[in-house]
Amino acid sequence: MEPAEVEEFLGRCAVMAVGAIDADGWPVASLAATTFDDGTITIRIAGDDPVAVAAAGPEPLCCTADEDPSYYEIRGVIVHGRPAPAADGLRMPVERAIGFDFGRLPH
Amino acid sequence: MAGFPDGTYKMFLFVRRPDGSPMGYPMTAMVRGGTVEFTTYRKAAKARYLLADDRVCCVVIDNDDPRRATVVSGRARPVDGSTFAEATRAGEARRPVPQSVRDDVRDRLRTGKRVAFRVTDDETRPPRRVEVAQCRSSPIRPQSRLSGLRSNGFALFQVCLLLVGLVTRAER
Repeated sequence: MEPAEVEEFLGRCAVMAVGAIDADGWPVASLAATTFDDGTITIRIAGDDPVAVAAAGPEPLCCTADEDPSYYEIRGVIVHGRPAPAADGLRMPVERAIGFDFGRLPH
Repeated sequence: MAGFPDGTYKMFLFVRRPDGSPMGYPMTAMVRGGTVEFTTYRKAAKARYLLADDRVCCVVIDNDDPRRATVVSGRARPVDGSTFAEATRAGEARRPVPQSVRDDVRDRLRTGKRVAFRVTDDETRPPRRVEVAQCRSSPIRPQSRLSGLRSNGFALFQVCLLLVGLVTRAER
């Protein structure tokens, strides 16, 4: 996916899986409502969620989502950044984004 | 994995990369007997990461409601791919997978091009249910009859208080 397509996809994402590494080195993850605006993802997550706890610091965070109208049309994004606490959860400027679109692969 | 009958589910697999950062992958999970399994190419980055550090966190999405999931933490270890391939024939399927794709997966598991992993739950990190609508996250505890009695008893107590209040008011 082109960068503009990744942004368009993020703009449509209402829910993403978010993950971080906790103090013991374990990956922790959750589902969260998200919005995307001007290169930043707002993640609405409870303050006591293990991801919110692990991301305080700020530690790196990974957010991912996909959509799949059919097996051959799976598209999605994986983004990374360092979040900062916000009143309604976390705000994460996107530092790195990967987009994939299986529909463009030869079958 | 209460509430997840055997079958396939959408899953987000989170692993720890060698640089210590998290990485999440959209995957298809297979649940068998309450245990999460998945397959990937042996040469895939995620397979290499898992062989270096087998700790994972799986967000398994409810097939009926994409805003609900169960989060399972554990260790992902390679298992015999042939039983995985056979199990893909049965159970609840999240979406139809073309037969040619199933055949390819089976063949690649047989030849070792793909590897199957099974997630062994970590007892110190119990599964959690998450629900986006209410931004809730809560540990899953075994349902005890006592907890039901407690809540029913409390409701009965509240009803009694209400009746006493009404009777007292009527007497005045």
